[in-house]
Amino acid sequence: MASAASINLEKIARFAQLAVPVALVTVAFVGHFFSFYFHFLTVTLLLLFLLDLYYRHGQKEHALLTNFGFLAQARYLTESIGPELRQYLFSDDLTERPFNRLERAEVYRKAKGQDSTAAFGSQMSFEADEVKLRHSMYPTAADSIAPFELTVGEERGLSTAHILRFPVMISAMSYGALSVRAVRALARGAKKSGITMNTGEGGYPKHHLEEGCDLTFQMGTAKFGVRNEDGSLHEEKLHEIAQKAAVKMVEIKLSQGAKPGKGGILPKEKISEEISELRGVPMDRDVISPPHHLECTDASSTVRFIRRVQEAAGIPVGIKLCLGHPGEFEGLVREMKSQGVFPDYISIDGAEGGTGAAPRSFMDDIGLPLHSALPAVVRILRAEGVRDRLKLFCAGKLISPARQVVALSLGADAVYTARGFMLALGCIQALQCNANTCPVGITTQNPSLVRGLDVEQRSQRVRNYVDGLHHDHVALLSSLGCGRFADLSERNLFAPALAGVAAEHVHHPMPTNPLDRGSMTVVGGVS
Amino acid sequence: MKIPKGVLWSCQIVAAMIIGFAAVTKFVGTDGSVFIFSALGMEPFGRYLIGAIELTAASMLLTSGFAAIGALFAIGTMLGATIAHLSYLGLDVDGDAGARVMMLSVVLTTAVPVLIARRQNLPLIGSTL
Ligand SMILES: Cc1cc2nc3c(=O)[nH]c(=O)nc-3n(C[C@H](O)[C@H](O)[C@H](O)COP(=O)(O)O)c2cc1C
Repeated sequence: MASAASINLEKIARFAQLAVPVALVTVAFVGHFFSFYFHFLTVTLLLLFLLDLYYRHGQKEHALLTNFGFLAQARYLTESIGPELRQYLFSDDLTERPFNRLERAEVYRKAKGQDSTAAFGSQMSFEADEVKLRHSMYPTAADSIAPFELTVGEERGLSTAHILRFPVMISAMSYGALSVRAVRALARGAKKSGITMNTGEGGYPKHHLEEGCDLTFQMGTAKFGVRNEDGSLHEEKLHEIAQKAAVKMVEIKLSQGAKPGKGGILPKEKISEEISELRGVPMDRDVISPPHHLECTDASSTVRFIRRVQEAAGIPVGIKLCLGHPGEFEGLVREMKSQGVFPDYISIDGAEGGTGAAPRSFMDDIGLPLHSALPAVVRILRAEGVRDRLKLFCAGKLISPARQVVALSLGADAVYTARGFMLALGCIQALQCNANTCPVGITTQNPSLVRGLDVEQRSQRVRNYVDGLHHDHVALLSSLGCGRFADLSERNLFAPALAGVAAEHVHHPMPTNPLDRGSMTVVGGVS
Repeated sequence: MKIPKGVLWSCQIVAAMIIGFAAVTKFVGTDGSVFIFSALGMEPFGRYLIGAIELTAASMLLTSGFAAIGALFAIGTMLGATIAHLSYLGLDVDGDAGARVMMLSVVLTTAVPVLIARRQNLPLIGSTL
């Protein structure tokens, strides 16, 4: 039973239904006999009356409007501004997704070069289901920590091997998903801070090249920029791109965490003339990439394809994938062994990864999250004895220095982040990357929105973010008692609830495979 | 029922031209408009106010994004004008042989289809129309 104080919307609506015409007649009289100015109200009420009639008797789409007339609009109005209200006013610092306010604020502060200490205590939960880092009682001196260095392609003895000097790279985001200015700002920021940027699957990297940063050219399943008519690889075009001095690596995208088993999607609203030209696609429809490379239908053909790309490119070639069945991955690794062909790196994309556009069920319910996938991949590579044949990268919400160090401890050699750099550019998580309406001009092709993004100023934010990450990496390593990034291992993790595949590792902290780089090293005499 | 783009734009331009012209006569203060607003007891403030609304509506009608709002304002002022003709002015105003009423009905018949076709662009309520 409704309590006395509850609002009976039906009664109010019936009252309003009567009140509008009564008020209309009243103001019409006042307007006629008193002052014509009242007819402003007459006209307004007349329009309101017509709108109400339409809601009640014209439209059939909204039951609420049929039943309660224009009053029910209040609900739609409130609902339409709900996300903003929640974000600005009502949600607490830890509730927003995919990145809560605390996580975003940390990136923003780093990007602005501000101090990032906090006070009083942690906002995080300390129930035993979170991954924490274990510090050492005997920290390493910060100035004795060796600078990061990783040579991709050294396993094949390539003269074109690429040396990474920072453990974080800008993950794939295509020009098309991003605006020109966002691409420029990221590329210029990458140049300023000396990190490597992935081009994403947007075809010929015209704007990236103009900024001159180190690039990983990504080849998506549609192979924009390097395809034949039928979607197969055009080796000469790839060779030509790989010859550019700035292009250091090639990445074959097999799948992506946000939509594994589904190709990239570029909504037609975002396809400008230049984008259609760089990708070689029409402008009048959504561009949907196939779910897999034409050439890759099983383990053996996939490995042969990797080989072909390595030969055509002449520079380090990696693959990017989201893990589904560890067994399938194991099969792929065995095939690599039997053909004697290894990609120069494998990048594991966690299912929590971001995207410019993907169907919701793919984003929410397909693929293994990073903390399950990465340990499984490490285990398989070690079990097959080939962990030292390639480098391992990963991505999946690794936007804070601590999460990056956790991933490095789980076995990655370096990490990627896409959204970390978007936030550094000024992303406010409006969640409109698929709609061409990004309010801060990062993921839109609408010139009047892109206008707001100042390339020079934002590139400095990217650089500041990198500097901030570096500062914290060093501090974290020092507190963990590690002298080198390569010393990071599972022993640095406290991860009671890492489920399934991951658990095996966490419970046997000492790696058994002597090939595992560096993790046997005991630092500072502690163990 | 979908109105072709060309027809829609013609409607917008016709409506914008007429109310744009009407706005100018109000700002200039032609004898006719002063006569009307005196009859309504709104001289001179009301004349400028309505002129400003009409000018805004006319310029909005010449865009694609704001045409719906422009049409709504145009319809609103024309409804007000209708009331004026019904209550004070009659059909023939200042010897114009009904020309003003003619113009008024032209604006209504062009603005209404614009409002209907572009109703989704209205702020706040657009998504429910
Ligand atoms: C706007 C946007 C565009 C993206 N475009 C691509 C792409 O072209 N190719 C690709 O492999 N991944 C793409 N991704 C996925 C990212 O590269 C990355 O794998 C994923 O977002 C996980 O990293 P994060 O959690 O740090 O964002 C995109 C992600 C975002 C947010």
